[in-house]
Amino acid sequence: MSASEAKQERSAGKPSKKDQDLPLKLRVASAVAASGYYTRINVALSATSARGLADVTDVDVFGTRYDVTFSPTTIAVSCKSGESRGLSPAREIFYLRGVLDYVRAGNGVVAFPRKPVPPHLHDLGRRLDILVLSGSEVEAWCNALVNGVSNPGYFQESAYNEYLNMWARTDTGGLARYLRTDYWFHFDFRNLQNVVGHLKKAAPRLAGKEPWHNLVVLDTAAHLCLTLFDLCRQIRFMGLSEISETTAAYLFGGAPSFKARRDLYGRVHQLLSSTGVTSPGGPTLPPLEPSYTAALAELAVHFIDRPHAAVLVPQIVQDLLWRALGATGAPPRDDTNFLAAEKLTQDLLDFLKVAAGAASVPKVWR
Amino acid sequence: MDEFELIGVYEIAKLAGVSPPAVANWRSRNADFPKPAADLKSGPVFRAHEVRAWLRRRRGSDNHMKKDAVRVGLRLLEFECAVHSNVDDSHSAELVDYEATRTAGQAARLAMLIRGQDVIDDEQRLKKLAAIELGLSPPEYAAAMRLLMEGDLVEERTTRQGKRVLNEKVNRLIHAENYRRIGELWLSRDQRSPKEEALIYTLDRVIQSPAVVDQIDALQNLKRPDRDAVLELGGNAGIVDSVDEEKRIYYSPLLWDVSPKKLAAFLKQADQTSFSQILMKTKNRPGSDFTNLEDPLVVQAVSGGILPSYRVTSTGGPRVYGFSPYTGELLTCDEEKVILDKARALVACLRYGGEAATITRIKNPLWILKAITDPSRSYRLKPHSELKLQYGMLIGKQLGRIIQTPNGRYIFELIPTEDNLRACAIAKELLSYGEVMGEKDRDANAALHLVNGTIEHPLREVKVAKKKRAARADELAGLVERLQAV
Repeated sequence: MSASEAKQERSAGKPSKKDQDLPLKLRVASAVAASGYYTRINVALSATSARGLADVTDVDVFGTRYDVTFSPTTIAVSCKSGESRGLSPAREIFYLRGVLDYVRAGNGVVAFPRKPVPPHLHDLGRRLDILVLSGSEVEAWCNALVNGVSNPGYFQESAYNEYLNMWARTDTGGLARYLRTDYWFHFDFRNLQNVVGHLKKAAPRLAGKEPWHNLVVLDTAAHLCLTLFDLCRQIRFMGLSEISETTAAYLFGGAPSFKARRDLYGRVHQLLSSTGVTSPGGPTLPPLEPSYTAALAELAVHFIDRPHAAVLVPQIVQDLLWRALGATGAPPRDDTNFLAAEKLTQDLLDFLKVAAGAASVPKVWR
Repeated sequence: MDEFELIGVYEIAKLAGVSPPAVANWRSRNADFPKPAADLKSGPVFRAHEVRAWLRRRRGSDNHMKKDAVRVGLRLLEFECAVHSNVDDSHSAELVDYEATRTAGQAARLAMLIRGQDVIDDEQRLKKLAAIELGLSPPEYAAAMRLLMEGDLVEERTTRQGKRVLNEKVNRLIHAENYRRIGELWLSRDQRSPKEEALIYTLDRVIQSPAVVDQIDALQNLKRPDRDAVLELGGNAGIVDSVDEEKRIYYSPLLWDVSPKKLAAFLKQADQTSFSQILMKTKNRPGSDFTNLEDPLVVQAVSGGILPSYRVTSTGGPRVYGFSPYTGELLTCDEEKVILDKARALVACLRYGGEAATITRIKNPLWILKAITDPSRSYRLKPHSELKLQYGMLIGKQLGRIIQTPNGRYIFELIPTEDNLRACAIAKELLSYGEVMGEKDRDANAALHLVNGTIEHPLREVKVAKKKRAARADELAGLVERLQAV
């Protein structure tokens, strides 16, 4: 691997071997996840283009949760455990403000456990709507997040390393790289088809025989769920009665773009028919919409019908993943909302099985 | 493939994409299911290659079934609804021969009842609801629930805290999928009796078009008494009836918008096969173009009122669009005929716009329906010069109004009454599916009852038999006084 490639990989979210901030990131991520956020570490905002991986930046800790209108509340934390003079809190605050705007995050936090931050920079943070924490404030803030909440034990260092190894030892084609980079860079309608498409390519190598095969599917399902929420929001805007129309249009970036593609498809179809290339009994054009569109609409209507339960799905997937990595997990609940959320999680996994042709998907319950 | 590979029930279920209880049912119901290689304490194990071969054979027969499974599922539901509504004693001896069919029909009704629930954490409550809404006794409920589990429409599971709950997996958007699963299960059952098979196929036959009893294949294999019993039950349930006194030609009263007398008169002269083909064609495409009719049979059917037709005249010249008689239970009273009439007229106008309009042709009639039912667009279509003539028929039917714009164009505006909006919904169903599927069993909707803490009283209510008592002497004297005063 050349130096530039190594740099690209590092910036694409794959933590370098000398990630000095990792313990802090894990501590913060654990607290954010315990307080009900679907949480990830080292989220890369980088995209693959014809010229390779275009490096932008990354977010140290990224947590998101959704309300019943399927709108996200996002928190981004910048973790700097260094104490050198070169580390500038002001620069970090301005940098995080830009990142927050890019990822449409509402809440930003910069944490300097070993670096004293002068009072005027706290004021700067307040002006830019960023919480600046230094010294013991970092630990106090983390403790406050989990105060009274049982600690599910996510983001333990050994488990996190196992998680990284799981991805490293599984040959998933472009899936791993896609989920680390382009997914977060674009974070829009493109992700639905792309997540399914990448998993489809990796599916033959994920026969479910090894435990980490299920972990890969779970991690992919969590990503799919977040983008599915976006579809649910779109359908809600358009009206539930239009679900079939909206779902197909969403997959192509909206009604005008879908209509243009459909018209073009129609013209191509007409041309091929008139020239005898396609015939009723013979080969024909593949359908414009993916074959799973109906199943996707069905899944979306399940989510929309029960938004209180649906918004818990990423947390349940997260819990299943970390539990499989040895965490104690969230305490069991038997209220109807949570049971419905578990059922919707299984619906999501079953959809992945149908859409991506995965040989096996994990069961939410035994 | 390893010839000695062994698998258990759980693996078979995974292989077939069903639940383990479904595999247990296959074992008990299919004599040709592979014998276990060994019966271990943990359960039986089977030779994988034998199971795979059996599954392949089963899938092969499934493909053959799939063609009819949706229709069979619908007929099962209609039969059970009819028995529940029309047969006084739904546990009479006559119905014992139809156990598999009734269970499947009850399962279909139960599926409609729980559709949209996701999780049912109080099955006892559901049992009560099934009793009150669908008239299911606990054993009937249990049998129907088993069938739903076998069809993967319901799944049973235990939570981490040890609570038993049911997961509902009924399709929300594509109703046909639910009917297909029920229909397939019924078709795959070996123990259904010849009589129930004959009844469902006869219903399916006559619901498409009236038929001479000797030409209904499903009845030919039955002995005379059994055949009479099937037709009698069909008659009692109100799903099969004869149009003539000789009881030669049978039809389904579900074809309610055609007069049986007219039908009988027409069928005396008509060629049954050709008429069936015409009905099929119009059923597959509601609003078929009947403008240049050459077939005298169609001309006769249209002029005799057997095939409802609508004439639309606009800049593209006059056109006539025909429909098959309505089948189903959605519209059950005469007042609702008006709504169906409006829906058909609307479909005819939209067909005209798609096929005969001279300036702008409608690409997708569903878009037009969407526009005229959209409150944010004031239920209006954009101005167009052709609208006045093309939608003129709808003014007479009080479905909408035409407004002239200053530049000489016309706007069509729907009058958004409840009936008109319902007519639009039916028109949408007609254009999309040719048949209304989603609302077959409108009574089966008890979503509110499944939410804890709401509407408790119907579940607690015990029906008290009203005993007639003789009037007391003072009451009688009072009545006599009143009568004398009159």
